[in-house]
Amino acid sequence: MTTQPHDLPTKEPILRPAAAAPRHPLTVCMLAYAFYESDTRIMQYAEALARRGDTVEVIALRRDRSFPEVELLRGVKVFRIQERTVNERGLLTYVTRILRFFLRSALFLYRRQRVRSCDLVHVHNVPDFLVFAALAAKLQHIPIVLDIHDLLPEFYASKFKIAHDTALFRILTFIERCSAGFATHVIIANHLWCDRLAARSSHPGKCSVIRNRPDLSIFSGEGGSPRAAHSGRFLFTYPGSLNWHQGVDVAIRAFASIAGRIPDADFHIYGEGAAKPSLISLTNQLGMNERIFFHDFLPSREIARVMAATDLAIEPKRSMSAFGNEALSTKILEFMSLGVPVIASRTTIHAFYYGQSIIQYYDHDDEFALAGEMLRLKNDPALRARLAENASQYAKENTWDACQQEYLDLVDVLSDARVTYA
Amino acid sequence: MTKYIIITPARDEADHIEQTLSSVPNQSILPVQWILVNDGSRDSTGEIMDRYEQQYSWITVCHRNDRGYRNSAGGEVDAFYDGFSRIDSDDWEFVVKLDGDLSFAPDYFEQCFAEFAKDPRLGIAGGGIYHDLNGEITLEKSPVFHVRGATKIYRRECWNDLGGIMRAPGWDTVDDLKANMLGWTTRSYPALRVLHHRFTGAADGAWRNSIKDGRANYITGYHPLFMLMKCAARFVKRPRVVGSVGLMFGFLGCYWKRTPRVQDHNLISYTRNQQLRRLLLLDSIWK
Repeated sequence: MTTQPHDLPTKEPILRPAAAAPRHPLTVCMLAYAFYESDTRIMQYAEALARRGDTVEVIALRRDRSFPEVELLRGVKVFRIQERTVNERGLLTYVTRILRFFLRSALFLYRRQRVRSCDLVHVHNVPDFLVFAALAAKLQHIPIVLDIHDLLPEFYASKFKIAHDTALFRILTFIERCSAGFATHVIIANHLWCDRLAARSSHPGKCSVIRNRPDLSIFSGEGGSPRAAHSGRFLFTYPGSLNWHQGVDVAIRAFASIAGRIPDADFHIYGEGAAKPSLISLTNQLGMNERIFFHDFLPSREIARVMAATDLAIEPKRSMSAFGNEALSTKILEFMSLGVPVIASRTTIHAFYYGQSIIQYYDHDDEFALAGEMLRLKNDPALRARLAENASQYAKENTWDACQQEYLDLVDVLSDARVTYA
Repeated sequence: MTKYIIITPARDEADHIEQTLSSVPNQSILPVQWILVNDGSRDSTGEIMDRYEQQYSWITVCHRNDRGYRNSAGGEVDAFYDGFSRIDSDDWEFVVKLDGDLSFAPDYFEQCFAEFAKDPRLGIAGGGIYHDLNGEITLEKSPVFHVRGATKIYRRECWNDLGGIMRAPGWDTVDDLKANMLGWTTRSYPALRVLHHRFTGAADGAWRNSIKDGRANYITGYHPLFMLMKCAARFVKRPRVVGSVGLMFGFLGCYWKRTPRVQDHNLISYTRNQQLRRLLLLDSIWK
């Protein structure tokens, strides 16, 4: 598997079906330890399949009781089999909840298989071992796709501060290897991780890259920006998970250091995660609670409206975190699609995909470097417009709409292959 | 508008100097002149400095020859003075010694000068030095009167009274002590955060750095009893043994080598008096 820098075409090598081969509607079952309605990547896959007439069922988490257990969302049947509050701080709580979901989903899939067989099971990590919940399908030779949103060992190492040279990290790598071996095919979210996973736990022929891409039906800057409609305040926004590796504390300190010089600006943070209480406490400590605002999770379509109303987006992912340095932010492309300029930390993966003409970078997770860029862009509308224009062009070439066929082709090839095995 | 000069001596700081170089142009109050002294760097520090000199008319770069080794005994101060000799105008109120591995808020100097405005007897000031330890920002503790050598702002009158700074280890403590002895106040402000991207003394390693600190304390004229307590207190901070033993080794080694102390008996008396007052829990600049 070869990697490509950001200035070359980024067509992923992917399996393709024979030209013009006739196809019958498929039944695809997806499994994710995630909230379906807020996970753009899963929604994109599911809705793309549903749009072309396939039957799609998603087994996922339930945020709270206001969400129905079973729901039909834009042609996708969603089964919410377990409630989850995203507040796990310890490894034990986290693992217990996942294991419960694993057992429930395995049982659900087993029962589902007995009633009606599906053509393909698509399992989304984290965790990787969720793929084993599809054992019943595997025994019936149904292809299993493991979709690596985040590399499990690096993700847990970052979340629970596990060193990379420990036995625990090696165990996580072993789980990754077993999971990849169990799956028929592995999809990975970016090229750097694909190379690593192929070398460490699988082989290049079994791996494809499908990057997170914005869905134009949700994230589109066309039809006029709602930015003019807000209160006249200049809005900095961070939407996303709130974990240590996301570096939101760096952005909070950066904003606090220049708040006096930009009295007409506020910083809005949307999302949930283990770091949220400490971030709120940091904000209070800095006396910024009337300038920095925390908001709860919003579903994709609502967060898209918030993002569109943003003047300047902040993506402060930590480059010093082994995981943060290589985790590709979907939010950046979504902001680009909405025509919002972005300041981002120069992580290895950001620099790999995005050139300097489309993102304003800062280095070394340095809060003061970020503060300097925030101030510069706030005071330079022409620079913001130039960045947004360049970014929009890039985003147009990298939308989900432009790339979804790669995934549909992969599904067709794998499900046809099932006939051969049977 | 406050008129100030910055002098930045730097040797082999290519990894971090851009953070300092991008912090200064963002300041709400810009310096009259910023003199960057490339102290014989073997990396690309000099080229980076030249790039910024072309961009900003108020930056002056001076390149010194490579002496072939890192002179922790005063090379930094020599480089500082080389920069000082290149000040273009006599119209300045403050002179700043600023290291090349720092970053700080865009209103850092404005806030510092506000403190100088509040206290006319404030002679030397600077922010608190912080380190980013795996995402946790921690303050490098030091006595409040001590302004770290990485970021020192001297009021011109105080600078004149001091007669400049000493070309030996411990210079950044001697100037604080002398200023206090002369009736000035000196103070670091932890609320004004300065991020230090390389640990203090990282270039020399923990053991050599501890020895260097012990020597500096000897040259400054520290009281042996105070030094003993300092070494004992050093045990709570990692590396415990290396840090503590290295300090005492450096201090006692100077007795053995008969290293000359600072040539100011009044200053040594003042220093020891303040240290004994501290040990006796009386009012002292070592709070």
